[in-house]
Amino acid sequence: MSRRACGLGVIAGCCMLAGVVTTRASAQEDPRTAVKFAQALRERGYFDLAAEFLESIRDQKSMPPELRSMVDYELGRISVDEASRTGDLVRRQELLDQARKKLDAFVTANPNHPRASEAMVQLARLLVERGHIAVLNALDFDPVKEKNERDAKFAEARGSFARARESYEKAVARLKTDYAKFPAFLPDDDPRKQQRDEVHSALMDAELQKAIVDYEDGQTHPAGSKERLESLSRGVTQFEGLFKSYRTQFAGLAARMWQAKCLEEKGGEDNLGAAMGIYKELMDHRDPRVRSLQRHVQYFMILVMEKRKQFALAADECTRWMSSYNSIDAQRSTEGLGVQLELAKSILAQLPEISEKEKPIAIDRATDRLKNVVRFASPHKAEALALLRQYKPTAALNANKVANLSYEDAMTQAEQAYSSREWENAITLYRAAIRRVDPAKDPDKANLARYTLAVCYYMSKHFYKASVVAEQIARRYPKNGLAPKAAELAIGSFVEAYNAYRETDRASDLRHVVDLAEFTAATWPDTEQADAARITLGQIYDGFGNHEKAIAAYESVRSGSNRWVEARTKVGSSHWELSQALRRKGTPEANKAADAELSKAVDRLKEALKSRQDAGAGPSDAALVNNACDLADVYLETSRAADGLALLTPFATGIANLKNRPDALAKPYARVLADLLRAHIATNQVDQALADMGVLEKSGPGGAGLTQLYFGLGKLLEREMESLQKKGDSAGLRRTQSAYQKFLTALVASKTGQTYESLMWAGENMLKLDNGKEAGVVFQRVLEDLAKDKEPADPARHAQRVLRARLRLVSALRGQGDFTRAESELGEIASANPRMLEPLVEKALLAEARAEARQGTWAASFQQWRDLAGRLERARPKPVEYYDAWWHCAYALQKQNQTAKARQTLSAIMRLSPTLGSPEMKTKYQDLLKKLK
Amino acid sequence: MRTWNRLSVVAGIALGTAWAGSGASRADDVALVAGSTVKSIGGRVRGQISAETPTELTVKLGASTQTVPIDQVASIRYDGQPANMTLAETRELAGSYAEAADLYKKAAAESSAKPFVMQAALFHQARITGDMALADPSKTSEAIALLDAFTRSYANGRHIVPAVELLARLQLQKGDYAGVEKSITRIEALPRGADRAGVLRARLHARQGNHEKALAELDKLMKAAGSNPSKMREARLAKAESLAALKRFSEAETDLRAVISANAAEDFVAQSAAYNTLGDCLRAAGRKKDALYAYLHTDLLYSKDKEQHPRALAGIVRAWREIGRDDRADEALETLKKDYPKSPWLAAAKETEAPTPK
Repeated sequence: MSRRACGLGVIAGCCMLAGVVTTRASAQEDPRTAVKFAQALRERGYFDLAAEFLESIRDQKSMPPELRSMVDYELGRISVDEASRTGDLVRRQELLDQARKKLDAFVTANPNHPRASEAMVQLARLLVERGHIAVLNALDFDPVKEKNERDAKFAEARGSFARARESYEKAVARLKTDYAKFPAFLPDDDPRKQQRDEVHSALMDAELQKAIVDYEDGQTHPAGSKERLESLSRGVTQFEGLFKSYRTQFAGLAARMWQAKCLEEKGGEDNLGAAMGIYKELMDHRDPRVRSLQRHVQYFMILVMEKRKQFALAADECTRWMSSYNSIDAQRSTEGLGVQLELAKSILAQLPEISEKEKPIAIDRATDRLKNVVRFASPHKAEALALLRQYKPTAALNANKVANLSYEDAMTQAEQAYSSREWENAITLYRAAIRRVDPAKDPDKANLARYTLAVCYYMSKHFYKASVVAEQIARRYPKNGLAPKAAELAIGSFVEAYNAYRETDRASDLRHVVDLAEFTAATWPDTEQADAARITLGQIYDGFGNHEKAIAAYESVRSGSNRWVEARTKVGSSHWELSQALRRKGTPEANKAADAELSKAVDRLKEALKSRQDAGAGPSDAALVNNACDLADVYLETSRAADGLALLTPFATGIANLKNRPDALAKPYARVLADLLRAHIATNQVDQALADMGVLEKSGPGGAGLTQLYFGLGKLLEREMESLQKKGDSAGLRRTQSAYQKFLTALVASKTGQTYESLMWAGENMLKLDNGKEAGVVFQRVLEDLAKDKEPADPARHAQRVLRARLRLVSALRGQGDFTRAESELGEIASANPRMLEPLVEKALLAEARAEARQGTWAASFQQWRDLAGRLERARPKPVEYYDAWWHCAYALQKQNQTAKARQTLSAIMRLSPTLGSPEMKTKYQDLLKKLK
Repeated sequence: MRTWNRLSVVAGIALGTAWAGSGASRADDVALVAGSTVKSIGGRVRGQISAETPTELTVKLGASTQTVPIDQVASIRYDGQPANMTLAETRELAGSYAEAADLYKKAAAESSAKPFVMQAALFHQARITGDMALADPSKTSEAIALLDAFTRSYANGRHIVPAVELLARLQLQKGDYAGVEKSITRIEALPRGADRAGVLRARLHARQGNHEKALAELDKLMKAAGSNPSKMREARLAKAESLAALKRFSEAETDLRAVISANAAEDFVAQSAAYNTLGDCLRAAGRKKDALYAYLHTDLLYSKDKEQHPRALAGIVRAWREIGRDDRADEALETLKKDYPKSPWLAAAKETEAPTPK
């Protein structure tokens, strides 16, 4: 559960407590004006009424079918419009998803409907709104510390805008064709006139929106940059053209406003003057259609005044604006919040001119406005927050004052502290508010305070406190509007606690999560929170290996849910895991069942992938990339490498071409490259696989991502070398070994993100490449890292790791020829672990190494191996080390020129145990026997 | 009737625009209503208007003469009418009523040699002022004076009936019941005046609280009107108001929805009044949400009607307050204050505001 989504969820939660509009009784609506009326309600911003009205039309049998068929289209438009006006990003995303469903349903059911073209325009608007969300998310990142993430989000926004532009172009082309079908002149009483006018309006709107997308695209570049200035110049020309074409229409007047906006942003007194002239012209317009524009125009005028440093004028204009547009919706709109920010800025800019006595009052007035702005997601939030921190730095609360606050005052101050992310102050104030309310009489007030208190606990990482408070609301007040969100918060808190606190009873936390998730899914089955809970259950069951239960949980996520595509991806993975588990059983029935599960896995993963792509996700979308990799993994494991290659190549190219790749994409990119390598290897394109490695070194992810990526590559190449060895490809083997060595070195050299497993693996493989010196350095480093962990979470596991690293170090020392140190180290290990096999093996290897280096005798080596074999003889079944010990005995005899005895030794063992423990060992025996002839 | 006059202005402008491009005409141009009973080419009668009475026009073309009943006339464009006349029509269409009234006044002054033109200009000046007065009572005296002077000067002209009717409505708004009675008497004596007089009389009874009497008057009228939709409309609206006052809500609603269906969707005069009355009726029946929707029809679709729009806004303010959305109520109230600062409906809407703490 992301903290950003959690925080924003408070706003949505508060909205849920606002007055719920009751269902209107169906009345006999005039069909001639029904749609126009619904559109007018939407344009007024009465989205709830418009939606209710349309649903009542749907149910009215007296309405003509062609009218009822348009309901989904109009409902989709309402959702898009409402999304564009809401500052709650979570709610905005929900509305866009709702809109997409309605519009897709309309287009599917009515492909030849006259409104189908307009539906395309609305779907284009959806993409624009997604771009807006990406921009708002970008602005949330620190421009210096989180530059990559910020830039990536702006890039994502540009991607959405680019797709929107394409959609608008297609829609414009189609609308022009539709419009051209009507005669140029139609008398007023011609029934086609209204339809033609509607098509014309849609065409003008599409052209206008396309131009606005270009403007918005320019806004994703920094102010003053070449790209933005070019965009503004283009905008002036484009909007001016539209105004000239449609000057008496709303689209023309809107274009005029945007023309002025582009001039204003270009700056310079001439441009500001021209812009202001246009704004005044629009403000003087008496046409009631212009009223909706004037709200924006007046805000833009304020910006001009501010740029001209006419701060007093700007402040007055802000006050006038807020008086004219004093509804909650208007004040919380983007322009409303912008006006409040400008008011604050204008007041603060005038501080030098006012007396010292008046300055605190002025600052209070300004910061009150800023506190309101920071409560909502908008392009103005970051600037408001910075000003707030400058003029009202965090101060400790006065306990006495807090104790005397009323519920309302405590809540107001708490919200301000919350918006400024002053969690401790917010917690104190919410607790004060809770104390002031009687939950029996005012449960809604009490629960609102409790819920936001829980959020504050969560945001300040007091996860158990958060879970306790939130769960209380969920279980004791299930009918409260906030209860589902509280349950979601409680689950999220427990999950965070499970991940963070390893010393507590984690199994108990997990059981609690399961219980709460089941409660949530059962109590509010038709909510997004229930779907989130179902996914959590699925993940837990998967973790326990109970894939059938996981699949059932994922499949229970509603098809209309925002989490549906995520559930689809996960259920695909669960089917795959189940398929593998069944296949491991090895029976014909299990294999048949495994095939069925495999088929389901591929279908679900493909379904999810297509859904993501249809929604506009691109290569910068980590979830999309992971989805593709999940599918590619299945292909690769089921000998469909070519399919994996075809799937992943565009992703690799797309990600590589991203200018600013966010860190969040590092792991998914690593997966893509790893899978791509596997695919190239599996399709015998080893050179391409090595070239992939070169690409990675140049443009791969940095830091921990690179390390883990090398690790994955190493595993792949190891498999490839084994394969080359079997084929007898010496040149290929040498090349691969060289590559192998190269990245093993790079892996070890990488300072960050090294895990025990990756370092040990690197060291062990260096040993296999006879690079004992470098291997020794690695194992020494591992031991040093392990020594730093004074209080390991799992002492037994820690000790085992130390032992393994020490044993490998001994091997490395042996490989370097440092026998004395190796024996000293080994002696300590053997004394502490007298029953352990590995030290004994190592002892024998050491003796052999000494003999090889002529620092010991082969007789001594033979004796060591003979003793080891003797110890292992009684084991049932005999371990492979037993046979290996006898092989070494024969080798030692060979070295002593006792060839016949060596041969006899090997043959005797082979007679007694023909399989010799493993095919590899058998091969080893046969190879030596050949040499002994 | 006001509707007829409004439509005639619109048609006149359209014609005026068309003719302006085609060169000066040498005849008066009478556009007929759609489906007119008068035989003509292209729905128009062209010639020189030689006489205008409350019932008909006399048009001469060469040696022939044709009479056109007034109720078949959609609009008239007089040969040689001053540019200010056309300009006034344009300004009126654009919603600049005060400016349009001034331009009609100027046109009248410029048309002393063309009596029919002058009469038309003076009528439109008085009519617009009267319409403005219905939304802004401060203009009532001026409007009444203009209409009174006009009706005395042109008692036999074609505009007399709508002029007296408007005068009566203003007198009713002012509460001058004696004046209304006199106007009703005048209308009754005029051709085509009986129906209008009947409706006015019913409204007078209703205004004085005698709804049963109003209903009786209207029922009589409607029986005589037959199925003429425009005649039925005014009567039905008045009847619905009285039915609602008598708490016979279901009947009122049925009548009002019949008016809505029977009139053209774009007939903003008919529709705005019908929806507002419907809103009042539904509100009285306790159906606040439905009332809101009714008022919103006027506000969103028929705000052109400057008499009914403030009434709708006031209804919206009240409805939102009753539903519990003060923010939306305040927004509607702001619009009312801004656009109709002198409307009596503003005072009514302000009464719903919560008192500001002192």
